[in-house]
Amino acid sequence: MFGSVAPGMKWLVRLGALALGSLLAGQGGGSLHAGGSARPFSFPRDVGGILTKRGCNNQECHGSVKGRGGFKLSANALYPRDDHEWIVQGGVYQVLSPEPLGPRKSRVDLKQPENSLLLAKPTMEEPHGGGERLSRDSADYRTLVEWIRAGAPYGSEEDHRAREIQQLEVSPRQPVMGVDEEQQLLVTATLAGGLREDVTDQVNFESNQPEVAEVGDSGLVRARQPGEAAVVVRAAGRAATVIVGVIRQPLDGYPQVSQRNFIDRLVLAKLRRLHILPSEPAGDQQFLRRVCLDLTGTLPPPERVREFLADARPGKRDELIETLLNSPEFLDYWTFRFADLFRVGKSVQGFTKYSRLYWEWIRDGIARNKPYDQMARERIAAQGYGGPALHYYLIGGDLPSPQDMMGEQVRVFLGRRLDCAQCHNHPYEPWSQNQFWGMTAFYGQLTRVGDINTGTAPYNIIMDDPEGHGVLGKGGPTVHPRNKTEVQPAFLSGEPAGRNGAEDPRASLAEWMTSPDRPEFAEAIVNRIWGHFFGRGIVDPVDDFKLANPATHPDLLAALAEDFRAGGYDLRQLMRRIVRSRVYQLSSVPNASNRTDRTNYARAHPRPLDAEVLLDAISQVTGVPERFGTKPEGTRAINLVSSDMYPSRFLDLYGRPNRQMVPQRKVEASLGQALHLLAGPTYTDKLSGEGSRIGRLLAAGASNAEIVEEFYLAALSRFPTAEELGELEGWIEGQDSRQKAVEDLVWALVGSREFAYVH
Amino acid sequence: MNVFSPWSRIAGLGAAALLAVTFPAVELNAQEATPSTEPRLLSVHPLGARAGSSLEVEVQGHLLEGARAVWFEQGRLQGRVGDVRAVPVEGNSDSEAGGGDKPVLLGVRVELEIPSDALAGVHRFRLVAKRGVSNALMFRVNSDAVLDETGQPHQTPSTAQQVAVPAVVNGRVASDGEEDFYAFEIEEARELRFEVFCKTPGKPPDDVGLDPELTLYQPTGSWFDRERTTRLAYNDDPSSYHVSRLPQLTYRFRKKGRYLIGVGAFLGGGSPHFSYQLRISDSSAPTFAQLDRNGYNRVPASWKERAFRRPIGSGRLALLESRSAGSNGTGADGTLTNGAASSHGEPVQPGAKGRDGQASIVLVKEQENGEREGDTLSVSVPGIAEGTIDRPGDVDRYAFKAERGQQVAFEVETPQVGPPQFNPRFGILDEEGRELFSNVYKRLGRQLTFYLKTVEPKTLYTFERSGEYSLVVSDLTRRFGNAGFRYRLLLRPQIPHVGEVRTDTDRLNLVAGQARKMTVATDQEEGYSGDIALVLEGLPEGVAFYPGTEVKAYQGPVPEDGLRPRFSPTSESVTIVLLAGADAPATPLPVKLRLLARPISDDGPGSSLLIKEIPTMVVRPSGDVEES
Repeated sequence: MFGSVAPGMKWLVRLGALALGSLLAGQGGGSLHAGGSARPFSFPRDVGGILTKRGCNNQECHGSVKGRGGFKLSANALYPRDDHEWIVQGGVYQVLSPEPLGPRKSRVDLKQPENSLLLAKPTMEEPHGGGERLSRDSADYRTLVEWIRAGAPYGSEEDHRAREIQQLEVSPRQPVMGVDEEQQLLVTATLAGGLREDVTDQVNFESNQPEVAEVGDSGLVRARQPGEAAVVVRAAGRAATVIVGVIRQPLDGYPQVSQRNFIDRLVLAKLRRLHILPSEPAGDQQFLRRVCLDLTGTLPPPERVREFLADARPGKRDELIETLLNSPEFLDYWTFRFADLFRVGKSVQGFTKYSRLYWEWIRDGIARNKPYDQMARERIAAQGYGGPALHYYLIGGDLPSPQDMMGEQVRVFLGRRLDCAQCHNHPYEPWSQNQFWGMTAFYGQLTRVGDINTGTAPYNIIMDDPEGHGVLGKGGPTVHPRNKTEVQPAFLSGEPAGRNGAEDPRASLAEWMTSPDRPEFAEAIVNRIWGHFFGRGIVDPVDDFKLANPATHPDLLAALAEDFRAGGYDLRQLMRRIVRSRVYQLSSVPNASNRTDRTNYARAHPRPLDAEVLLDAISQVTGVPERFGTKPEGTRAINLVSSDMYPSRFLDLYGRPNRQMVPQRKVEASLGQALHLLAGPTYTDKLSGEGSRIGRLLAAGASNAEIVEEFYLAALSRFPTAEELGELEGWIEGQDSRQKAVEDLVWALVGSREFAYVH
Repeated sequence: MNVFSPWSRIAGLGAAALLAVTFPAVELNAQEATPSTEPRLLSVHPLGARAGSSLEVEVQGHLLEGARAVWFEQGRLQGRVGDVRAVPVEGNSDSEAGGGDKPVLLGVRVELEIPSDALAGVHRFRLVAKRGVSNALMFRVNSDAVLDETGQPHQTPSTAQQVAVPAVVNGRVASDGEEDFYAFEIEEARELRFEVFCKTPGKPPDDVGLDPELTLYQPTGSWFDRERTTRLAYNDDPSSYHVSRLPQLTYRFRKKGRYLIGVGAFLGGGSPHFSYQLRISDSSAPTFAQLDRNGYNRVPASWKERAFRRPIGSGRLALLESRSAGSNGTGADGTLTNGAASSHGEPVQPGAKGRDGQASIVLVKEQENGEREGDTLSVSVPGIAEGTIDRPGDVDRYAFKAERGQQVAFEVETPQVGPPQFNPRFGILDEEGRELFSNVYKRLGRQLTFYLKTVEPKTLYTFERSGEYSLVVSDLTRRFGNAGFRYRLLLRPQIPHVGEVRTDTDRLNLVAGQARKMTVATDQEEGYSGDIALVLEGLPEGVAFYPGTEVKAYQGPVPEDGLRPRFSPTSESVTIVLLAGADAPATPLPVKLRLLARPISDDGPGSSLLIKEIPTMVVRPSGDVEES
């Protein structure tokens, strides 16, 4: 038993946890406190709570975009006014209109409450696609009956505010369980005014990995198999998540593991809690290759590998990290990475010159180590004619829609995807359609002056014009698509932008998004950078922060974000922190306790090289550069400004994104890659190309052993083992053509998983 | 004797002919304005030389058979044409090199003599060949020594050509992917300027040109690669290819040492036609552009009614008056020269007066030092408000009085930094602070998808009420500002006058016995309603011209064009058909055909305005110089 509560004790610890509904029977016009005093009904809390607990308003049921069976409820009872209207006044919901479809018919019968549709459906007295959700003898049923009998009131806002749940706490916070064990979750709500109330039996529980840990309606968790699961707890208008760890067996005598910084402290603490041992530190050769690729996208050349491996000084790793962080290759690589994220491309900006100026702005920011919050503000609020302003164009010089521009910025800089809320309230998250359009209104004035297509003013300038975005028929103020009213700029929090928002809306938005008071901005970028170095974000996917996708290490995320903020949003410092940590420098060789773990950074997990890095690596190993159109020979794939201008079967096969949308690189092995490896020019033509490393070595009279060693160092950053060396020497010796044999060796090396992965 | 036209020689006009736009049209089957049967130059290499030197250059182009003379438009440079050879065309990114159905690419060897007193700067020249006179290319004369690019490969940092600063180098980005490297040593704390001059891409068919980029490197080496360079600067920042494709960058070197400058083409394309001249100089030395302004070089300035860079000065009103009917003010030779060399660009001194009989222009200078938020200066009409948007968010305010019905023109000049970096916006506010209008013109584009908005250098307005108004000047975005964001804003009475006059040809090769069409477009500004007579002077013997008609293709429905008269002139175009008689003698060298425009109204004729001097030749159908 690891911190869990014995099942038999679970009810004893729930002091004051009397079921609300159980005391309702016979109380007209109000509910009762647990203490027995009469209390007026609050629709949001009393009815919304039941609908949430029973799952009536979840996204698979009436909380979905269009509702279900013509009946629409807001997900998680986020919008109780709307829910009350659809229940009491009835009507069929329409997505793009505030008007109901057809005549309205109330779903409650005030004269005969038991005959209400609201009750007949979930009790299956009438056919119900969602099955039985409520039994007639349940307390919730009786609460609903009494509420209807009381006239189905909404209740006073004052009472609602007093009883509104401000926060949910779940305990235990980080339960760790053995397989087949049970754990009762307790949920405590903090109400307005600080009153705390046990709401365990008023909430809905859901596990995102039921095969790891399943959870019952009462909040009892059963551990099924080792792993981690997030249990989402939903009450009316609020939700919380708890991560449940399931371990195979506890380790006796968990060892002390040395730490280099707070990253190690927080990661190792969780590993200890989960009884997972970290792998051993990576050897020098593994570390060297990993850190070079991760910081610079470049393989270390053989002579540098030799030097590093021969260096016995204890501080050599930190010294190398500093060298790499200040190298021109770092600048190349991180310009490429941010050109990916910020979407530089001819097909994105529409003009190669614009893409170039935009790319130069990124490169300059990386070169100067410009604080990241400043880069973000410059991009979000960009005006005029210059790098960050030029990212707003599409082919032909047209502007994207305001909602697309807003959605992209939020995804890039806050790691949130608001898209769903464009047409309706977000089905999973607490983002309403109103909030979406309030945010969009910040971009409603963004317009273009000049027109490169006409020649009258052959340039484009970005500015905010009170006359509006300028799309024919959509000019002027931002209009809510559902209720057709003008929308004023309002932050995602719902707070109106005010005067500053009207005068310089995007500058106001940029300040809000990057405010140090708001954790989302820093968390989004540290998570993204973390994801780069570990192959998995603390929130993963890295730009999909949401309730149902919680952080695996919330404390680590918060600590990284705070460190990043305190350090002046310094990207190099953030990377330095990460790569100097013991956690980053762990070996990829698993041990018995971490073999199946994927989420706790107990070891390094091999990550495929990005297409551009892989292509550059092949060129580097073979010594034969790739040729991109008319670009100078030796131009690396990561240095292409508008990569989409250069057709490349290889890059496409290995996952080069087109940057039309925020890229999500997920390289998966494919048949095309296998065929390309066999017959593609990248793998075959480079082996014997002019000036190749093979040719140079053979011409210099290198021995077979020297050739094997050179290519092992060049491709894998390690010496061949004695066994490998012996076998390969003998194999080359036995071939008719030495050149052909070496070509085959190199082909095998660059086609190997060890080469194509960071490990 | 010309047998075609009674208009070819009109008594009292000497060798000129007068053609009013209201003349009845004669329909003729004429050639297009820029036929593909004319000689066309693509490049010259090397691109420049020092004054007082002689050298051999090769000029390449199409239809240069029988090339026999070099024709400099101005100055005393002379050239002698030598061999003509067919140039083998290799695969490169230049689609103009020939091949397929295209004419053969020819190279013409030319020996140039550059007098020691030749003006430094650009000299335009043409070749005269069997089929007539070619388009113009530019050749740069330098006052400093000029190096030639080495014949050795220098396309990598390690093979860079060593040069001593200051330096001028003739080079060529000859093939795809080529970047030419030049190495130099420099002392600590020295500031250098790097700039490239070349023929840049233009509109078809003369679109062959180098779009150069400059990159400054330091051969630092890196942990990965000891030969690795570190890029220090790229072109100029911010750069705008809308204003100029010629890159220029200035860099202050903090450390003494060896550095590299690379010259390549944007996107890496190369071509034998991509000649360039690289100049490395102290940043205090005059730029290429400044050198060009000192001489007579470049294309003779044409009248620019709406350009932010047109100079606005003390003579502006007089100049506008001279372009109106009844002005009757001619230059020494009976014409005005389009204002290119006039005084209208001279700076105005505070309180300066205009010419006799002209309204005075009073200059009001905004004082940036000590300027306070809300400060308002008074300006009269006519008057010039001059100031600087010297910091982001800077807003300059002026007050002026206007009478009911007063028609005022507002003209903005940006003498230093202009669009798209500095986009001067002004608004006129009434006494209640409401903006009556601004210089932002909004209308629908032809695509009918977006409103098209532009910041206009000239705006007209008729005041409906007498009173005091505010003029508010800022950068369009209010996000930018620096000492280069200077403006001059002229408030003046509207003066109906002839605006820009444009033709669609830069040369005329008239084939004996054939007709050739030329279109002339005229702008009528500020309510000008008189006629505009077009005059051609200097017609070769045997050549006549007629007014012609042209059927314009349907352009689709006219989009909503907003308050167009406030921002745009009225435009009309006329077609002139030139006929060379079958017996017209061929001209051995081009003659300068002068196109003039003359405003005419009930008040009488105005001055003759020289619009353009067009090199013109009569050629025999066979291409021979003389048959008779």
